[in-house]
Amino acid sequence: MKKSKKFHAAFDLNKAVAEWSQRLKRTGALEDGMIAELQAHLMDEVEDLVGQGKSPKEAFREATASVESVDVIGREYYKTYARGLFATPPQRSSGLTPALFLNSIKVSFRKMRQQKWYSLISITGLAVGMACSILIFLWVRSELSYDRFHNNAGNIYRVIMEDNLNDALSVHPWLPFPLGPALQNEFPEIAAVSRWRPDDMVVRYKEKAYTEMDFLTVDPSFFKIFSFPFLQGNPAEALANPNSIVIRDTMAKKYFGSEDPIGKVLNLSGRADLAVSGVVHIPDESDFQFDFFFSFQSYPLFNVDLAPLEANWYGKNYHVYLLLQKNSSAALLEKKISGFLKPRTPGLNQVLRLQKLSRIHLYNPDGSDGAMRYVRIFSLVAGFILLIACVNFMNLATARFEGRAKEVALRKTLGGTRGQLIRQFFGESFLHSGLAMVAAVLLVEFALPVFNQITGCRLSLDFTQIDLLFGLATVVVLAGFVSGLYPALFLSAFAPARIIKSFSHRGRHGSLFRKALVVFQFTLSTMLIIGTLIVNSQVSFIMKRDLGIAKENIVYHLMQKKTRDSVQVVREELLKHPDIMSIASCSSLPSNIQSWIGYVDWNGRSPKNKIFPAFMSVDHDFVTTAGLTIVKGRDFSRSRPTDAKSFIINETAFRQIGAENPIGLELRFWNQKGQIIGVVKDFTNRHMSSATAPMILNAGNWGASRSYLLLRLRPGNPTSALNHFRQVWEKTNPGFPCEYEFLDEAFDRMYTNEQRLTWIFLSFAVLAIIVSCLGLIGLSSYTAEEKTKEIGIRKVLGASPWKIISLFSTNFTKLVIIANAVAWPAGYAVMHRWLQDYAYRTTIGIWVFILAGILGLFITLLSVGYQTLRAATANPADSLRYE
Amino acid sequence: MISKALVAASTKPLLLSILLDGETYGYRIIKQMKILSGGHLEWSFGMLYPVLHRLEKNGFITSKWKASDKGRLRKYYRLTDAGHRELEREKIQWLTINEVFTRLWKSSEVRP
Repeated sequence: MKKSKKFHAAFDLNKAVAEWSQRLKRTGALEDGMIAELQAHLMDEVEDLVGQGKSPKEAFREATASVESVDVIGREYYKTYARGLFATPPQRSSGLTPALFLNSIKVSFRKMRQQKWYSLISITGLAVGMACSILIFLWVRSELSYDRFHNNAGNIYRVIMEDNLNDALSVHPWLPFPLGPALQNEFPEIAAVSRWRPDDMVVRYKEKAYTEMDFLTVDPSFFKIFSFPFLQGNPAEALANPNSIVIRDTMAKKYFGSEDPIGKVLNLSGRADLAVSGVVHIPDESDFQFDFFFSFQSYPLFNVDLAPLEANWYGKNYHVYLLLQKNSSAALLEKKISGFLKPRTPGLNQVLRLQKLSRIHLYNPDGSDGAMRYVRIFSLVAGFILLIACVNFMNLATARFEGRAKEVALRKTLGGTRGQLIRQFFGESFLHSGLAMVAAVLLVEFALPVFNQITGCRLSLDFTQIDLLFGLATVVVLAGFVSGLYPALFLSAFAPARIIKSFSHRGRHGSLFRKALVVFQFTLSTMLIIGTLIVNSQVSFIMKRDLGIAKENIVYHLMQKKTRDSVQVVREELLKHPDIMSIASCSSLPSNIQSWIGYVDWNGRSPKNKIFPAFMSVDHDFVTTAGLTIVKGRDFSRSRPTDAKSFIINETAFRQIGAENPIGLELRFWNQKGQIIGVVKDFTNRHMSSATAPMILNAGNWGASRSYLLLRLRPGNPTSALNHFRQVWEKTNPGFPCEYEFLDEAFDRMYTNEQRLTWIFLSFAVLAIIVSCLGLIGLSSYTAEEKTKEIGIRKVLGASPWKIISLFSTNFTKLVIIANAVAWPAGYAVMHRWLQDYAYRTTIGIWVFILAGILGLFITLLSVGYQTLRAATANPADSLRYE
Repeated sequence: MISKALVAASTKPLLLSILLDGETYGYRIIKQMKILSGGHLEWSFGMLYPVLHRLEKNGFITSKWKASDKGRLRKYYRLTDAGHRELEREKIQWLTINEVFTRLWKSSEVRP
């Protein structure tokens, strides 16, 4: 009993009740008044229970047990007092608090207004970066979609040849004429075959006549293999009749306007009449950008005999496309056909391979990257620029958010959880990146026409495409996520007390992080500058390189048969004009050789020495007119009739033949033979990415017809001479259009791709730099603002504005120097690899790097300078007023 | 036991009815209700007090802190005029339902 009493005494009811109500209070679920009432209730119950004979302790325990969990009570109370339907009690952090969400948005917009400068810079920067990557995305997508629309795309292959010449391997798609049908006869897994050869002709319909460069001769099954959409006519039957021709929709409009084109007869170069049997649409995303299609079966109509062609296994002038049977293996077929040419072309080592249709646009026949290289490079560049933009965005966001540490502290003090803060910061970055995307889309809409014009692409922004929308959304989310990451994770972790108590919440941590980001983006921009400079230097190198041909002041015109036959008359008429210095005709333009000799023999040729020269049929005046230089022997001469069977070769051919004195050496090919009478200095005869091809010129009427007329004009104003040319042309070619062109333009066209590339690189480099600059400006103005007081004190203590500017610029300059140290070797490595594609390449000079460095530094100082100058010239009294 | 839905629906009229006898406090209300229902209706105070607060907020009852005879503070609740009117409305509804039940069950007894 004594013990029990002692036990009773040990239990202090008042203390227990006080503790109990303290516990209620701590949960934050109940207000003081409610707790007091609950406490009164508890006491009543305890008294009652004690009155029933229970000990105070037991009574207390029983009474408190009957009280449900505090949370339940709190929620019941809250229901009574809640203001809104979705409101949640303050003691419970909710997943979604609409009121708070609205508040976050309000704060975001308020902050944007308050920090107009930062917001503008960061959103603009991100928008430019996004616009840039959208453009590249559109381009890449278009590149990757070439010729994928054909129904049988997966089963279409191009036959390519591994040509082993003098131990040098050349992989190309040029094949002998009889190959296609022969393959189809032998291998049942081939469902259809079409050969392919480009051509050019003068097309005439009634009074309309134009020179057309985009003819394609194919086999009738061409439109069965490829599913180009026909607007009129039946694809399967369109070319069955040798008298028929299929034309592109744009040509139908050009020649027939609103008339029905079907059945209309087109005259081709005055040689054959073909009736239109179909109108086809060629999508932009196809490598078959041709305007007219007719069959090889029509050749006899042009007076071209098919029999010798069908027997010629050495000529290599045709592409061959195969449609495989469904379920047949291309790899297996490739094995079977690889040695197909061996027995037919004794002495040559030619291996056949297959290239899938979808790879043709992107890869070279030998499997190396073609357009794919640029797809890769530009995807990388797009990624870079987007990354720079995001890094900046993040950088600025970090700077902006750090100024908001107090807001973080206040929100936390008022019960904001870290989760809510993380959501708020991410929400804000998403808002910004969303706004940037809207701006970017507008920018792209404006920039697309210009971009298309410069690059020759036909891109468009079509929002009905799911992948585009998905891509845009991904970019918004990624940019928002990346830029919100730092504030969301670091700032939200701040302990409020530390922030409010001390002012030094801006640790070294953040500034080091920002510096790293600045270095990173400057490395990327510097690499882009280096890339632009080197691409530019390479392009001007190949453009200015001695072509070995005096391409200026030469005008050329395509001739049809009638002019060719009367070329002597035309020539005499033309030469009457004093400004026309000389005239020549040739079978192809030096910038675009169309004829190749597959096999050349001479006495004393070692069996291993095989050469594969380009062939050009020219007249006696060609060497003078084109301005070639004879380095050995002599030019063709009209006074020596035997010259019709003689050859002039170029230096490359001379080197490859390997004879000590080539003059007088007899060459044999195409069942003909003749002597070498001269050697000309090499002149460019194909794209600069390949070395000059060996070449044989012949002044007889061999092989190819001489359909180009070249006129060398006196330097100066060509107007009078051209007028004379037009008059003569119209007189001798009534009804045929006079459409001359300058040869240097034709050469320049060879480098359209390179020039475009320079443009693209340049624009991207400029964009990247703009984006980086915006970042720097933002960052420097932030630093200047942060250090207003420091600047004030320095000025009071006697520092000159210059001193202050240099103090601030040094910091950024250091970063730029570090960036250069990284960018130089990286840029060198990348560009060195790119240059390997060219047979003739510029040397990468150190000046490129120095220039890039100076440019980077200059831009940095310019962007940093303005903000710093503003800070440095400010009156210290203003900044120190509160001290 | 009485179902949760019915408890929820009847709390308000029951509370107002208890207060007809004059002012009282939470613990006594619970006890009284237990006795009146023969132990079938046992209100938890986690439910009672929020309801009292709500009724007060609606203006049907008022409250006052008063010292008990032992000197402890208790919150006493009392019906207001609005509370009386509200109770009249409730009464009509409950009586109507009661009448319907009575008739229904009577007729079902008569039928056989």
